[in-house]
Amino acid sequence: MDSKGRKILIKSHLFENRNILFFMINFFIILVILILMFTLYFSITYKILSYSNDVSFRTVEVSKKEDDNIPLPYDFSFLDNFDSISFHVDKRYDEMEFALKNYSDVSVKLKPLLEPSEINTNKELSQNEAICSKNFMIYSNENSVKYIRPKDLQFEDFSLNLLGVYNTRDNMSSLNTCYISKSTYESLLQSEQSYEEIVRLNNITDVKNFRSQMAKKGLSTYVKKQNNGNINLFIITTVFIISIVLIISFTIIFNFIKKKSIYRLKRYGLLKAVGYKNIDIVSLELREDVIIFICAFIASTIPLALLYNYTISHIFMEFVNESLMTVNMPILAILISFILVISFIIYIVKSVLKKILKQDISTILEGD
Amino acid sequence: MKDVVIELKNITKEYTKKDEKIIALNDINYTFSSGKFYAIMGHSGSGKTSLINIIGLIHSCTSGSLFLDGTEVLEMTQDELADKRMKYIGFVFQDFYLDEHLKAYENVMLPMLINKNIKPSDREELAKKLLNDFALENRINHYPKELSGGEQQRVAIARALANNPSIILADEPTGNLDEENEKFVFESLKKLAQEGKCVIVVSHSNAVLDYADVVININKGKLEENING
Repeated sequence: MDSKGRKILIKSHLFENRNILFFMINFFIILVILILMFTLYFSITYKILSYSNDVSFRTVEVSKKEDDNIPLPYDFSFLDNFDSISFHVDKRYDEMEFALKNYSDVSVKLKPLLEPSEINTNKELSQNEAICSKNFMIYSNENSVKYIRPKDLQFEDFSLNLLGVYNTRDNMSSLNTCYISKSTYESLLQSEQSYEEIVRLNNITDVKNFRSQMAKKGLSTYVKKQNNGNINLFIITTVFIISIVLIISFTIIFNFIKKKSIYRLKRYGLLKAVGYKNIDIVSLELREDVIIFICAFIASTIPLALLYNYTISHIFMEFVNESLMTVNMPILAILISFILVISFIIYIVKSVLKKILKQDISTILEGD
Repeated sequence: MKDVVIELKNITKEYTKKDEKIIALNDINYTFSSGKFYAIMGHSGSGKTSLINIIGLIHSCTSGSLFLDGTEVLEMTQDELADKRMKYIGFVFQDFYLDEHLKAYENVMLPMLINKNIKPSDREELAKKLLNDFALENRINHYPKELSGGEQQRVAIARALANNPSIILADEPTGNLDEENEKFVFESLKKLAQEGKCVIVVSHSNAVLDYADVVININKGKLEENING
């Protein structure tokens, strides 16, 4: 069949009531899926950004060592946005590095576990116990052979027992960092522990600017990483909801296409009786459904794009540093949604019609 | 001697309904020639529709062979059968089966859209000419719901002639028509037979006897031929 012939047949049926209903179904399904995909995109982006020091709403600690001559500022009125401020003096807990016995080229950084949430653990460390990175304990050599280090970590003058492992991705610490209790740390210190004054500012929005100002004064800053527990749960929940919505959507689309095909049985029978091949009929139906889908997709993307520009983007920008990145429309999310739904429609139309068209034409014409 | 267009050899059609085997056609052997008007008659459920559907390649048979213009067709693939239907067969149905979303001339054009031997630029003109031949020049741009039953059937006949097939099959073409339209339809079909086509009509109506060259009765799955005189 040539394009002119196809045009006559598709055009004549495109604005049938059932096709208008199909358009509406597609419109709402795509709108819901796109909103959920945007939500997923933003939450994943937020999680990735949470590892960056310079993203807004961070807790930043400014510290000064005992013997530092640099005065610690107490007046932060020059800052526009932070929620609260607190001052305290605390012991310094710098990292200590020790070489592992029997592993001549391996050293381990030891840090006290000041906040268990830092490595997503609820384990309590006793004396001489450690929690190390999973990637450190299970490692591969140059031939990609996997090894497991012994749970009993032997150092020159002491040993530690492995209590558990943490995922380095959770706090972006280095692979060879192990966490120990405060008391173990203090017992390993070879010099007297010094103190530092710490100013903690909560939820600073312009983190980068603040840190550069402190660096100019010669003061060190430490940015507290986000606890990703909630965002992980949010991402998982969003993926779960997307899956449910996809299942429901695909069920609706499948039933609709099946009913539409049954409604058109006599048309298919007639076309076959006058000499149309199965591929001609499938091609006509597919083109019609794809045209309707594409129109619905464009129609639903437009209000979403407007919503994005005026609302979603601005809300999300509150959580990120503008100089770090610009929040573009998630084209990937749109593309994935498009491919998912159109692939399903094509698959269902072909499957349903294949089953119908392999029957005798007289049976199809009877419309059963 | 007229050309042999359709040859049936040992055609049998069986149905199974609630574990009961029903033999609709029992070892049929028959030849249909061009230039003749065949009327197939019989009581309800005698197998008339099954026979015409098998001839029209829109229904499978349980066993046997069917030769169309000398070629065995029942072993062909679906696409090959579609090709044969397009080239050789024009079907007229009792319920017309016109596409309600297409105008009258577009319905007639429907079989032409897949015929590579007809140029796209000629289709519309040919379709309108066929409608003119059936006195439908004023109905060319009307949709089926705007036409009477008789007019719809004439459009259906014009559609059946779209690709100039050598065989015209009509299953109860006047079943939904009044006497006047019935007469028009049978006269049109008779004219087609006189022009050299093989016309096979299934009908309950005795009016067909005034037009048929050959009357075939189906009884208990067997054919009985009567040359109409």
